[in-house]
Amino acid sequence: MQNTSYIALSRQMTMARELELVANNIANAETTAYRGERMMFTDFLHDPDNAPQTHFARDVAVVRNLAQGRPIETGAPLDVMIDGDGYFQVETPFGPRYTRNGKFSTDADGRLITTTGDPVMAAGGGTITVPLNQGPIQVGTDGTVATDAGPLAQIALMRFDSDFQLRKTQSGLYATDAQPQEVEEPKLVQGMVEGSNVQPVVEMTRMMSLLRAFESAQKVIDTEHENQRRAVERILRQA
Amino acid sequence: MRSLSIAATGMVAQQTNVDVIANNIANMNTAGYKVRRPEFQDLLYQNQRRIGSASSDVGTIVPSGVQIGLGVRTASVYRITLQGPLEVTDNPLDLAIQGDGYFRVALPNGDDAYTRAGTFQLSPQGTIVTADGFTVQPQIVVPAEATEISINPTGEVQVKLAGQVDPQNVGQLELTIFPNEGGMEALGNNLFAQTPSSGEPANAVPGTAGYGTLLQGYVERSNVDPVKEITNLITAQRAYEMNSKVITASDEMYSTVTQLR
Repeated sequence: MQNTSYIALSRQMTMARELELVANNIANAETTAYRGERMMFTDFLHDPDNAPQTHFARDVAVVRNLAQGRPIETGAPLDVMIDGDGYFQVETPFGPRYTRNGKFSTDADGRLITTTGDPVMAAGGGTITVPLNQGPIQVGTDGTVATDAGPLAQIALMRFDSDFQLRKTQSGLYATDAQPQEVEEPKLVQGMVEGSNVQPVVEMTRMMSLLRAFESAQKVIDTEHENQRRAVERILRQA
Repeated sequence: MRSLSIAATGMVAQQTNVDVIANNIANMNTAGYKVRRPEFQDLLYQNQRRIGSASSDVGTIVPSGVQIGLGVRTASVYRITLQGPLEVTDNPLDLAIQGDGYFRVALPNGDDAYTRAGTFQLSPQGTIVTADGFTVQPQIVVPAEATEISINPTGEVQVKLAGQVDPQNVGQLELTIFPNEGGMEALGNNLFAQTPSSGEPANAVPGTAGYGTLLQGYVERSNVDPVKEITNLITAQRAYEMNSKVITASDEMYSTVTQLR
């Protein structure tokens, strides 16, 4: 008899969690290389003996939108955008991490680093050091970093069997236990960065429909409550 | 409900964004000013359902799990060091740097500071100083009887003295570059200082490989693009509004819950 309320409640709980995802997407609408997320739902089928089946809502996974973010032109020579598949590999104190944020700079030793201060890895391992007095830095579409004196190194671009093998950690870095492979035909663009792929209008619409669905689930609980109260009253009157 | 605090981090970030844009617009006509941009990063993620946990006895695993992010933060406000447009002033002591490098000036406390605002003047002693009166390094004294000052692209300062045919060399200007230009600390008044993240300064004559050249009679304007700034301002304002809408929606959800009978 309590199932109606519990089913509505399971839906409400998942919706509250989904709103948190929407909130995070909107908060990161201006975050470089951020990829929006949405919740994947399944219904949890409860099939007890001698009773009709009941469906409960359940959030099983967060699905990342893997669409390319909008390109933003910055003109900075050390800004590199990935056009298509792949991740930059960076060396952190906790091991290798992956990111699509190509907003690079150099550190005090001239090493190429990310905004988190971690060195960017070169193809085949090692970091990339840019000398001071060899003229402007050019980054080729294949990731080759060169100055007037010739090529220095190639920026590593890695891919995985499935992008969902990567889990998000903070600061736009992804961690994984999976083994990366080098992207065969890397495509990098110098002087641009990848913006967030969140579409604010879509997120706002989702948020409004979530809110209304939440309220309607509330209505179900209220109505169920009312029905039960009336049923009890009637039974008492009969008695 | 975490959505309230998540949206709050979004509003704080956009507030910073507007502050930075306001400062850029305010400095649109500051000589040698470099435009600034905030860089945002996503905050920690909380695992509701861990990636890779088993979803059945047979060993199937959850492909992506349920990870919920906790919002956004401003990671840094960096400078875009692109060359600003050059403006003719015809003032012989106005120097623009074409390419990389900074002028080195001595602060009153003895420390060195660096600047790209080459609007120089002469002190009562004839020393080349900045608009604030700080001496440009290496120190160059222009004799009082000089009738003409000429500074060539490689920084040689020559003066013409009354009654003399050949110009006389009075000094050599230098430029300074850093391994990480963006790591320098802004001191205000168009001045920057060395920090541990900028690396060690390297001085050389203008025109050396990796260094810019000088242009006499020109000033480097700020590299602020007003159209870009106004567009960014509108985007920031809308993003702020959307985050505040998230707060309203979460609040409405809360109030629905509190009306439970």
